[in-house]
Amino acid sequence: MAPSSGKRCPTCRAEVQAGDIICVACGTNLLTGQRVAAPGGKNEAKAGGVSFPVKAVLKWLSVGVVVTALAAGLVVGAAYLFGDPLDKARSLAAAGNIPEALATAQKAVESRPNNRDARILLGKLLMQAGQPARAADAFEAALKLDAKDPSPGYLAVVAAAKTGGDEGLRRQISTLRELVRLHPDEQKAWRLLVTALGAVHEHKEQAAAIYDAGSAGMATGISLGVLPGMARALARELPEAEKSLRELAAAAPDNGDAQAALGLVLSLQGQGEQASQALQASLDKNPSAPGRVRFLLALHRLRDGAYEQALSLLRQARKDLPDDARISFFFALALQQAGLNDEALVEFERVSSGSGPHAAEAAVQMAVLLLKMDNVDRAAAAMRRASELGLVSARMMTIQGLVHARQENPGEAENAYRRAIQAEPDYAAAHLELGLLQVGRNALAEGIAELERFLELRRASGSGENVNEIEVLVSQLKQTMQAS
Amino acid sequence: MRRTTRFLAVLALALALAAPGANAWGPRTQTAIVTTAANLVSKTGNAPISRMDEHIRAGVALPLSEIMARHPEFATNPVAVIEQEMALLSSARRGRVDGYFAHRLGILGKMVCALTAPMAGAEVTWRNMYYADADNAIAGVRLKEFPRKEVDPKSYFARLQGEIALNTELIEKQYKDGVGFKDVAATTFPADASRSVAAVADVWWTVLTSKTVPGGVSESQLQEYVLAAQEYLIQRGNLQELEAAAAAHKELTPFTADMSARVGDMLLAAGYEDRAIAAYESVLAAAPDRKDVAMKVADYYVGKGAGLLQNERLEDARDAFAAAAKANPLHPEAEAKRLEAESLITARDGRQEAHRAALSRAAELRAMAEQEAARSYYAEAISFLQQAEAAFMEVSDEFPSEAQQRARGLRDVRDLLSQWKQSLKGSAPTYSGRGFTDDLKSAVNAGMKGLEEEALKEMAEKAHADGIARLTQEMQPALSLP
Repeated sequence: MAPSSGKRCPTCRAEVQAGDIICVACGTNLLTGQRVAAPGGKNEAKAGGVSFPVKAVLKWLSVGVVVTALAAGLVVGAAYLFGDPLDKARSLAAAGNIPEALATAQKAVESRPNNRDARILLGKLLMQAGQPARAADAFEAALKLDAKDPSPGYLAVVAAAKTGGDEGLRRQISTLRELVRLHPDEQKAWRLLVTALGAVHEHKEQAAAIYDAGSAGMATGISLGVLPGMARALARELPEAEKSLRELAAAAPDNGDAQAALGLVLSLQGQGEQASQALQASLDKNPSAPGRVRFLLALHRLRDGAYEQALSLLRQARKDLPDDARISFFFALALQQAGLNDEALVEFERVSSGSGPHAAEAAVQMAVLLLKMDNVDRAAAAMRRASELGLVSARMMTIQGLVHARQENPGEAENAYRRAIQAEPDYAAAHLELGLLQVGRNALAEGIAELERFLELRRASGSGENVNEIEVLVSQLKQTMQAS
Repeated sequence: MRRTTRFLAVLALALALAAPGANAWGPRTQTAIVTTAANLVSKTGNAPISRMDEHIRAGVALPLSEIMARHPEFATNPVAVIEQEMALLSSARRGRVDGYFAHRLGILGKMVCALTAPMAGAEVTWRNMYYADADNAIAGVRLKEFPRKEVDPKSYFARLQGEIALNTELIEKQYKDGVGFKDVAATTFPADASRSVAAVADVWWTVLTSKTVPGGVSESQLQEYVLAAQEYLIQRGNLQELEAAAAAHKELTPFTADMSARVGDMLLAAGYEDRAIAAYESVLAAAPDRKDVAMKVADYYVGKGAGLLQNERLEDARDAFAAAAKANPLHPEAEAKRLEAESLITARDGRQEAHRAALSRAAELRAMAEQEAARSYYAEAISFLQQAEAAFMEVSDEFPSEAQQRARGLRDVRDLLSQWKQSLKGSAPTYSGRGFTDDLKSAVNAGMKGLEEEALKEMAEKAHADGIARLTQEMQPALSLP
């Protein structure tokens, strides 16, 4: 916003500043209306038209030039000493002297605190000087001085955004709140307020802002796009979020964020199949968080046994989010499930040697793979690595037991299984391994008891996998025991 | 005097004929007379009827009471009956001299025997004693042969009656006196028998050779003859002869629809169902409005269908019911039974399909079991085998082929079960590591935890960042210094 005094020279109509005495364009004394010097063309005509001796003419001409220069200098000097400080600041800024310009503008604000232009200029200069927080103050003050113009408010938001961090966000929110208070019909401001509240994860506040935006006459719901649905989802109002997002997805089928958010909400509600569909649909429509959407979809696919699809998604997600160590772990897991054991082993090794959240689990997983490959020594080393990384879990101890068993150390194996059961009595795999170990030792009664516990836990968890064959095994073992 | 004598003779004849049923030679004598007459007629070369001896004898063997039932006027006017029968047989000869014709000749012969037997006027006691004695004596009697004469029944038999009655009184007296069959009876017997033989032969010869077309034979008599012939042949079970006779009978008199219907009834009663239905169908073709016949056809097919249904020949039963419905669309049961048969067929086919599916499933399960056993996973193998066994048990004995497959399959499955149960304990370690399947889900679920919120927050942050970026760009001119 360039300041403008609105004053013009009565002779040449050139723009002049308040406090100017002489028009620099035509030389007119703005106080008396007389010109300090006649236009040059006229002098030339006069010189050419009068028959004086050349020397005398040159002499008078020189005197005239000197007088004119002195007069001009006087005018400029007066303007500098007694003129508008804002002009002065502008001139200084234009000359690249930002600190001086800033000081001048600051003085102008101090001398005239209700001067909106001064505050705006100060804000601009502060932005230029790399002080966005102060700039935001200046713009906010300007906003309050003119209830009709919202633009200083937006400048303040931009300045606050420049400050960055949570503080910057909060500053934006307060400015935006003021802006919508003063200008309730500013849709842009409402939208920014809603997104800003979302960005600071104040979802209740965000929902309230959405409501207020609607109350203020702004179109709500679909016009705010995915924001209301997301706000409800993050506020854990999942059924309402699903409803809102379903409506949006139906009304705007090309909105990738709507599909993605719907998929996320469905996933939060445990509706895996529908979630996968929505997430898959969103990926064709450029959602704003493609990496995490792909990651989540990959995990759904992995859980559903669609290992090849999971692999493909995880491969892309790793590119989207290269710093997310979790993706590498699940990528390795998907490779293992897809039967690509060698590749999986390489990946697990890489993850386990890092310091990511899944490093220890990756080491355990490596051990499982190595046992499958009959490489018991490396499996044992992998378990040591897991232990060093501080992992303690029933699964880890059970696999440790398997390693012992493969090292033909059944006593250690049994201890490991029992420790696993102690750590987590409902961990079915430990009961199975202990049961099989006992059966192998011909301790049929104890073995059968553990196997039955395994079956009981499996049934209780609703997982039917491997239940049938173990049931048959138990039944046959019982018959064998009775027969003997 | 001659007039008086003639009157007495006619009276005697009338009296003799008053009870011809009781007045006849004994059976052996009748047979001998008729057989001899047949030989005599055959010897003339005009009609080799002796070859049809069996039929002639059958005719002779017909009880006189039955003849009386067929011809009640025989009791009062046997000559007229004989004359009528001769006329009928002369007309029937136009068709074909077949077994039935010979049978009728036999009956005619029996009538003539009855008429020409002596002792007609004697007391029943003496008369029967005489006939019994004659039966005993007939085997040794030498019969006299006479040349053949064409017979005009009225005059022929009137002439004979005088001769026949001549010795009756004397013979009766001798029987009363206890002489019996020794004196007059014995001496006159060859002549009396020979007379009967001649009479039978003459009558037959007349029937077989007469060139004149006899009058007084109505179409209905011919039709009755034909029907009786059909019935005779049907009862004898000679279908080849029946067909040949039917062709000849059609020349004798056209078969009306009613006749065909009656033939159908006879065939049906005799158990020739297909022929009966063919006969009924020919009736319906000629007279489609014969509802009674249509009903008989439909009833027959419904009955047949019910029998087939009972024997579980469902398709045949359905076809029979369909034929019944076609013959009589208004039959009260036919269509319903057809639908019932259809439904039973569908149900049976469904059961068979289910059996086949069960066999196929059992085979698949067994194959899977063998795969598992090959990997030493005996528990799974046993589990699959038990499922295969259950699938085999779904197959019942209803369908022999499937039942056979079931028996074979069950035997194999049970053999394998007992083998694999032995191998099971040793294979227990192969199940190691199978308890971790849920761990993948646990790991994935843990990985998912919070990921949705992360993504939503990222989207929220990006939404705001995009808004600010747009605003900054928009406000850039306003931020520039002059």
